[in-house]
Amino acid sequence: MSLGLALGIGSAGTFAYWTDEATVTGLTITAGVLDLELQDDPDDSISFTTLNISNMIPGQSVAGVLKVENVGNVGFTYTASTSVSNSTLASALAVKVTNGSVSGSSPSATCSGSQLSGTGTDLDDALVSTGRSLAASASENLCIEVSMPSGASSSLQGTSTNVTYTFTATQ
Amino acid sequence: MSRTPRSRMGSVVRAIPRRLKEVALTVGAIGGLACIALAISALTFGLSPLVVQSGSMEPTVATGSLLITQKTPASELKRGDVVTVRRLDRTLVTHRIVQITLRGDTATLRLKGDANDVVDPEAYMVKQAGKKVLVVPYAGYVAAWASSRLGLFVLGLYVAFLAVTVAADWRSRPKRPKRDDEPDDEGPAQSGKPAKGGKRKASRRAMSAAGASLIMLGALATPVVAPQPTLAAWTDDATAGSSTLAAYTVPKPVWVSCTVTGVLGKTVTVVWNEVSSPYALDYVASVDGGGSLTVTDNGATRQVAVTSGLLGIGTFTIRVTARLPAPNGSWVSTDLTQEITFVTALIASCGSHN
Repeated sequence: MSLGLALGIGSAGTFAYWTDEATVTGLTITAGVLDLELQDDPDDSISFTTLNISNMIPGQSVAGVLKVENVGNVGFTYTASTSVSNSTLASALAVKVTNGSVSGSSPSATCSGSQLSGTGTDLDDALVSTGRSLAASASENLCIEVSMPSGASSSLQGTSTNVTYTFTATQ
Repeated sequence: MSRTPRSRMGSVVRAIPRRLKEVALTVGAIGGLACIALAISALTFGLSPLVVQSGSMEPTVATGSLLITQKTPASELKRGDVVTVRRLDRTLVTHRIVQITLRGDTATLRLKGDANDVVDPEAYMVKQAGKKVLVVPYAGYVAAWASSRLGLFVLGLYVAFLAVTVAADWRSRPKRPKRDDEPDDEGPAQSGKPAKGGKRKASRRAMSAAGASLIMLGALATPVVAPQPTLAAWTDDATAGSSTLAAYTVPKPVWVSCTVTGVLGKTVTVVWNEVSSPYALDYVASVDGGGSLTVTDNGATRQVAVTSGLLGIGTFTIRVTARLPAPNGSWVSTDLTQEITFVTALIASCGSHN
């Protein structure tokens, strides 16, 4: 009977085969805290008005930096989406997300650096659609540039949109 | 196992108190039966063991639990079920169904961890999912340990010990022919008593061979016996907002006056104010049937003038438009309109404006 354990180890192997799964090494169990923080503000809903602009016309741009920080004790990947009140205007506004900094000032502020892969190209897109990894205690600066391309339709005149960025961290 | 006869061979085994051996054998038997039962049920009922790695399903499923799930077709899943599905990155996640849409045999699931504020960002398209059957708190830690290299090594040793104990007991019962052809120098160092015969040497050889092979088996088995880890993944949200982005409106020119002047040939002059704007606006004017008109800049006001000689007799509409400077000239205001009438070359009047 005691040899059953030996058999058991053999049988356990079938679990792995049966579930059609690659092996897992270094299985870890974490009792941890997952916490994404923006702009060093522990509040989960921060005010971000850096990208405010009025009287925007084609060719103008605004830019601002958002600091995204992992203040928990486990690594996570995050994505960011926008929620807008006017998708017609939002989809006409171009977005560029970089790890750079702001140069110039509104209404001709821009973000240095090149567009990060997996980030949106207009304001109605997901801002960061491909998850970005942040280790525990790590942070990164996202520079967000929103511009109205030259040639934008005159029909956009007088429209405005609110935009809220939602960052979602997943373990 | 309590009927195991006393071993007369294998000093290592004999040195261990009988009660301890019995306990070890019993535990081994129970563990073995549990493993066999699990294996059979896994194959028969589609069960699989998962180690819960994190706490987003607490308190229903605590971190470190061993979760047993059953393979369930999409059509039998419902809202509120706790299921394990595969994420795009091939890792497993265990969360509760908050929304389910079934199309054919494929369900689109939206899942949420009980301890999470938000629904998982990705939707999962599944034909089947592992539905929670049983949660054994803390057992995940044991399973994870047992799957580690150290754990397997220890288990291997344990199995070797069991095998040797059984072998020793088995060897002790029937009489075996002596074998005296083996050298004497390979016995375990801890054997304090002198060798008495070939039986003992043979059993030591068998012990070490069995032990070594089982330990090797254990080491080799390491990659395949690991239970599946599943993330009861946390999610956390933070929002930044809201920014307001507003597009400019090119303002409509503001009407000032419309006057008729001249004696022999009447001239109608329309005047409007420049509107205040952050941009250097252009003004263009036209008249129906007469094409574009020349705009005169008076400083704070601008004007156009038309004569009967230009237009002839009739009623006409003058349109004035403000527009953004190049290259954004397509952004124009709504028109300021002014109706004018030439009754004859000598009689003209201003109509309504808008």
